[in-house]
Amino acid sequence: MTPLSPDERQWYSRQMALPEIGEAGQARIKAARVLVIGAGGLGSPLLMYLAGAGVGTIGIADFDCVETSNLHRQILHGVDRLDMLKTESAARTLAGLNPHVTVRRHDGPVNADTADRVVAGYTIVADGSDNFPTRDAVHAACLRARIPLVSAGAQMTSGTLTTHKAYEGPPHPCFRCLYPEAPAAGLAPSCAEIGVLGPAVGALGALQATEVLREILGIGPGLSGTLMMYDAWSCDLQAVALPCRTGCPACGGIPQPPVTGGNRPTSSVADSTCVPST
Amino acid sequence: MDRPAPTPDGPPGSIADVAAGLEREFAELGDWDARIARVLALGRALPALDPAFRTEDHKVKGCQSQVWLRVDHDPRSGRLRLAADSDALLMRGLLAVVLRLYDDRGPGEILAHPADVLDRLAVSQSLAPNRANGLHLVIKRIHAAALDAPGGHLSAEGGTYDAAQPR
Repeated sequence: MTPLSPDERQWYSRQMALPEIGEAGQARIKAARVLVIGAGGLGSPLLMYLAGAGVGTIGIADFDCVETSNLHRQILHGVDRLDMLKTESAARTLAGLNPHVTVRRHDGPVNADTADRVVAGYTIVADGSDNFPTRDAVHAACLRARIPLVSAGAQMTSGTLTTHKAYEGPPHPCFRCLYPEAPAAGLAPSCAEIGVLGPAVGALGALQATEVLREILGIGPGLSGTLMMYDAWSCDLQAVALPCRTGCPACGGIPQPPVTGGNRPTSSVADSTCVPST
Repeated sequence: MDRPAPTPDGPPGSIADVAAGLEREFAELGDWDARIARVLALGRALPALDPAFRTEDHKVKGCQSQVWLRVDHDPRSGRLRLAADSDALLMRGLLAVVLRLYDDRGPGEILAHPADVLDRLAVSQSLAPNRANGLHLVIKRIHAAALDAPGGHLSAEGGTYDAAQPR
């Protein structure tokens, strides 16, 4: 583990003053390699807090470009970044936040074909992507590679957060214990006109960053087996037990291929789930 | 049959030819970075839509980005002329691909062509679902306009009417 430099000791002094962190904890944070899937509404606070905390290596995977409808919630990006790849914009923001952090960009889609390659070498993966096929492919890759997956999802004014480490066997539930089937096309909230509250998704991204730090530091039991549910309009945060699903093949310790092919459109025009609201 | 005036024949090749050409073009680019760079370059090259047509009527709703589509039926050629624009460069590039496929084509030809062509393009396989949905909505709107155009409904019912021929 690389020791902290005097500059880093000064940089993180307020964080190292926490009894759970100290110099040893800060060195663990520095040694961590965390991959964040999605540089959007969840990924923004997540990446910024991880960079601020001094996570030594941060990977950013995204394949979209910044546009104006992102800016109310995706605080990594600004008007000077419009039409720029989100990975590039995010890397610039993080470099500006903390020069001690090494940022690795993964431009391009994360799907069943690419997920194993993208997650390789990371100690923790945090998924803040916006669609089921990507989540499924990322989870399958993390399960195979035995990497803890801190997963958050947000929509409108609420969201969920949990951690998957089903490679440790029962009682750790996997992604497919939570979602045994891919959602029906008509239910998949991929349409752009669904509203989303910036600070609601931001709160979940900040909670997700906290969970990543807890995993790095080994503080508390972690969220494997617990599903946190947050609702912004009622300021409500609940913990729900998330057991293994009986008969779930992934929990038997047999890595399964993802149930879907990864992040690619499978719908034809006829199947498109978006209905124009005219 | 005498044509009222000599008109250009429209783009060379069929929509299927153009689609095959696009598939080849993007396959040759190889990696994703090169493909996205090409889409962005196409977006920069797409002529801007006259701001007068950036209206609610021309807006394709349901897209992540703002997208405007203008469809005009040219009575002389019988073909549909398309113009499109977006506030997002990436979407402009994808619209450029859509226009290359469907602009200046007869309603019959547009309706006869399978609408899932963009799914087969390498570029489309790298899209977020919400972008793909937006693109599908654009194509739906083009199909609707083709159906409304003179001759469109005949083609849709399996008629052999050639919309490129003047009535």
